[in-house]
Amino acid sequence: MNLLTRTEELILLAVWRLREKAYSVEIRKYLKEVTASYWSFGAVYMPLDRMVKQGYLVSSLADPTPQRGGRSKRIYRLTPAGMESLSRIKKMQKTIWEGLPEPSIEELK
Amino acid sequence: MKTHNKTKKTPALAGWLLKQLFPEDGADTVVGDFAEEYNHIAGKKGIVLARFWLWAQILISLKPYIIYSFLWRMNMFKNYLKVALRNILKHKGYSFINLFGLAIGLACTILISLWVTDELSYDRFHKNARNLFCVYNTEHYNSGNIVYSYSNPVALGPALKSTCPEILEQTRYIIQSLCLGGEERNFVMDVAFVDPSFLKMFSFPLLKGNINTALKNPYSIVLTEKSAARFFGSTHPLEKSIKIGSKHLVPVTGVMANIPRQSQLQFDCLIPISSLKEFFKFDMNNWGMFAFKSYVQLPEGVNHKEVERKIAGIIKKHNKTANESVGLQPLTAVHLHDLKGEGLMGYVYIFSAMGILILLVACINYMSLATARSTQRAMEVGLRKVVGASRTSLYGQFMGESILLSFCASCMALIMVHLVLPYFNQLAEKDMVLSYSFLFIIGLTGIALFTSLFAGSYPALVLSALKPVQILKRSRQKTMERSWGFRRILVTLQFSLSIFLIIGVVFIYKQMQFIQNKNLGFHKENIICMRMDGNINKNYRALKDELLKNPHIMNMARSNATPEAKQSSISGHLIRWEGKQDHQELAGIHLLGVDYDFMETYGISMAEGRFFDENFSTDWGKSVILNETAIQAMGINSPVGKQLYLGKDTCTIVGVIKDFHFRSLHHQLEPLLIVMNWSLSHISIRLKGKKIQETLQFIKRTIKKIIPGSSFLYEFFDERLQSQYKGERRMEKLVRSMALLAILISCLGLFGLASFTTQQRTKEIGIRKVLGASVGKVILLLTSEFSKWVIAANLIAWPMAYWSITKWLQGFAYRAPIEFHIFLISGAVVLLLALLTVSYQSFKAARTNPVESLKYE
Repeated sequence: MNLLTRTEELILLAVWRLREKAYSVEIRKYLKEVTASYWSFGAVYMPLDRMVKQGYLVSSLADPTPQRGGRSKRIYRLTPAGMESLSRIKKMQKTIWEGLPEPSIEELK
Repeated sequence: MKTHNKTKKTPALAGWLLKQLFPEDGADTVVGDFAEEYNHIAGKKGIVLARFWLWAQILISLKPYIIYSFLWRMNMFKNYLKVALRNILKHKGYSFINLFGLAIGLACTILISLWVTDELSYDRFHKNARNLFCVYNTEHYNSGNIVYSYSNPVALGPALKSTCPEILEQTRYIIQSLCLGGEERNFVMDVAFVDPSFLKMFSFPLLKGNINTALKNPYSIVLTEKSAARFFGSTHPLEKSIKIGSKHLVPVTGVMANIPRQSQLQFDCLIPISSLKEFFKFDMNNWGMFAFKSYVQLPEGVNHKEVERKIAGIIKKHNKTANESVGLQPLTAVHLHDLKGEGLMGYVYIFSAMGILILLVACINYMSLATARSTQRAMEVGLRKVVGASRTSLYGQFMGESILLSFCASCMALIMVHLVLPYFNQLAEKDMVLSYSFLFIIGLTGIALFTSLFAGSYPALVLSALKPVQILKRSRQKTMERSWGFRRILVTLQFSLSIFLIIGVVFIYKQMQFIQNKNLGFHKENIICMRMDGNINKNYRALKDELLKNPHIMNMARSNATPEAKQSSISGHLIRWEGKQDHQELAGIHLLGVDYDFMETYGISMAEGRFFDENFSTDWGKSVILNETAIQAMGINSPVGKQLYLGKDTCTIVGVIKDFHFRSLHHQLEPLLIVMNWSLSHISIRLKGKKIQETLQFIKRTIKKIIPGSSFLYEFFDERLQSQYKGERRMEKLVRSMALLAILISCLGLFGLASFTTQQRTKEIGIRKVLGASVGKVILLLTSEFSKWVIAANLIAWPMAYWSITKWLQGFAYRAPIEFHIFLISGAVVLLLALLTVSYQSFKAARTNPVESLKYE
């Protein structure tokens, strides 16, 4: 069974959340905020491209803005396959967390 | 960020680099992403940090880019280079032949293009070159003869300007050799009499003096830098004066830069034409004497044909007896085209064609050798293909090799050109230099690229198309079969070119021999000619008496020109004679002025009557002598004693002189009129015996003694005769060197090819020998293959050569016969050379022990 990696999961969720604003700059900004760590452009592009190839995402060109020097954005959208894989990983997480308490140091003693 | 209305553009270079780094379709949006982030950072932390960030991003991504794409490409390139070098070193001989042949071809093309561009650059240095025109006139005769001439009446120029408003400026131009007196020495100089506008029309810049006033006053002279230096050394010439003749002292009003070699107007100094009237009482309204060149300047964009229509009849309008109509020829065309539509341009075409042909031959060689070598590289190609090389990359590899080689060859060619250029300059009588101008470098690179594409494309296409399975199964014989026919054609073509050139050389040589040996009707050897000034003319009697005392001086005479030089002429309609019928007409007659001993000095004999004689007082001015051609053309029976009317003058024909060639052999014999009342400017002295040098010294001493201060500048008459065919001699030398080169290149090519074909047939030869063939039989087998091609080449070359030679010989009125055995002999010589070339390889192959060639089976 094909499971998403954590990065892929994060990016797919970001795309879902950002909806029509889901293009690389915004995705990267969101990821930086959420994870509080540095994301290079390459770290965003590679999984995006990969998931387009795998059929989890589709992309389309949107209107250019002046900040972009007149160049258009590439907006990403989830495909049914993408949504399916998200629900799969969510289910799996639920199963794997089932019956476990909230993680804390106390549990290790 | 949104509060910032101003958006910053990313630096252009960075944008471009980014785009290169993402060569996929997404590049545009990616660049857009970076631009957005750049703006974001710039808005938040300042432009400097934003730049820093951007460049850091680029640098970070540059490293993997280099590693993944460039490095691999370099690796592959290194491999190509290594394989190419190994191939070159493995076959040193063939590589050298290949490179050398190409270099020779390129060097020839460079030299020829130098010559061609030089010829085409004549008179183009004038700023107004496009708007300057040379005035000529044409005379139509009822017989259909058309006579063209650049010599116009003196009054034509000003009349043109006043009748035709389109003509902005005009100048007349006549060259006279005058003796000019400097401070210490006298010099005979070519003086050009011109209108004041001359300096404005033509771009001969004045170094000293004022362009507007330099030629205004009749008493003024403008010297070239060179002649100024001859008169005054390094002192300032402007305040000095120069003596013209014995009376006139003329101030130097200007010094002009030396005249570029690429100018048809060549002179030592300029004098205003108004001085002709001032000094020599010349009638400036004369419409009858045709002696002056005339140049006009038209405004930009005016069609000279239209102006020509307006001025065509101007001479006839002013001179009722004249028949000439006026035309305009662009100044830049004068050097290359004569008025009959022939001229130097033909040579330019011929040599351009030769240059291209030689380059083609060199390319063909390269192709032929490279194709032959492909046998050996087929294995490599097969292996490369199996490992995964695409057809394009193989194509690139072979093309790259070809480009590398042709650039090596260009460097060799440049070295050769530098070595040969001094000799070439001597041959062409020019002072060309190889200047590495932008255009030249572009041109050479272009030629090198063209050569490598042309030469490399065939092997590249054939080799990259080979099927790996076939090659690796060693069925390569079959793949090579296809290129056989093609290579046969290549070799045949270049040999036909060589044969063509050789036949050409032989015929040019024969024609020159023919000219050399043709009886011109006068004596050629041991005659010296010199120009004389007025002082010598005055003391001529005394000089002659003194000189003839020397037993080594046979005779001497004066004339207005040497017998071979271009004569002045009289229009046909001015000439009538006793018993002239209406239908009889003469298309002009050439005029030669002589004094008493002319005939003896030049060894010409009379056909009828007598030559001028001191015992007949009427000879000076009243008697004329005609040549046989003139008598024939006029149709006079028993001409001696008949009257001849020249315009208003009446003369008696006292003799008929035997025809002699008073013009070069390009021309038919034409009517000639010999008179005694002409201005005599030349002395001819015929020497005899062996002591030429001493006699010359004696003449010099005597002239100095009788006329102090005069110079003794002489020429040998036979050298003057030779100089009539300077163009042809130059052509002979050039074609000869080209033929040699063509032969060399073809043989180099054949040698390379022969060695490969024999190599290919090693096995066949081995089997033949095992089955009992003798060495002789095998050699015959191999050489007959090549002989067939050369014989085919002969069949191509002969008609071409025949056609070209007939065409070339048409330039001469008197031609050596075209002998057919020369074709045969030339062909045989080339065949012999070709056989010699292949014999080494054939002999080696035939002598090989069959065990050697068969033991690997």
